[in-house]
Amino acid sequence: MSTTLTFMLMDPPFEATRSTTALRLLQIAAERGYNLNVLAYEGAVYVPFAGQTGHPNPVHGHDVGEEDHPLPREWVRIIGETAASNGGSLDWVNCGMCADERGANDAVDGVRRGGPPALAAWMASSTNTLIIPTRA
Amino acid sequence: MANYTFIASRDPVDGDAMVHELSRDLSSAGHDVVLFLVENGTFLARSGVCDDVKAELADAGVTMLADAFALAERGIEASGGVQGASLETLVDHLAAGRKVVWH
Repeated sequence: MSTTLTFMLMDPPFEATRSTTALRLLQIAAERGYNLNVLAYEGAVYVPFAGQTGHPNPVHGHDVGEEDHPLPREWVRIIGETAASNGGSLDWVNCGMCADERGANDAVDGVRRGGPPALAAWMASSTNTLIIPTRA
Repeated sequence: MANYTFIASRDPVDGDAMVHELSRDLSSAGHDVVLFLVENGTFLARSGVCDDVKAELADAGVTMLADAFALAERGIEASGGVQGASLETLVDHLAAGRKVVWH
């Protein structure tokens, strides 16, 4: 029987370590070939934002290539590819209203619009669900 | 008896008291409780930080684990009964159907 895990993320990338920990958990689960559902809510809709770009770091004297800035959108793509190559899947839903109000609709391929009803449906059919709240 | 895994991500002196108390009380009531420290929650593992809290949790039978990556990032050597662990453990707990709650 396959394992399906559902995650809800709320924190934006680059600002909160919760986003990074969430991606680490997803990567591990993807390597195991689990089926993964993600609802990105509030600022988390920027995690797969296609407009993210690397930048140089003049403080360290690095150009763009040397800095090799990690980008969450690339990590999302890799998690999807990793899950698929191991027999699993990644279904990533960005909250449509959250994306609209933030101008974050330009997401990487594979991300679709949705909302909390997707979470409710996933929870009913998943092995387990982890809600990662934003810090109040 | 239920199986709980609580994930504590906040600095222990800045807002994680509730999850520590919840872990202690549920374990004392006979439930299987794991407190998994991540991010700044790993400061609890540092010697001299809330040693009384760690002692209470240990006495109550709570299993205390801390993300080894977060410990290393912060230069923390786990103490007071806290053991370093991989995030693989958290994924194990999710896959096993434990009640996993992120505070």
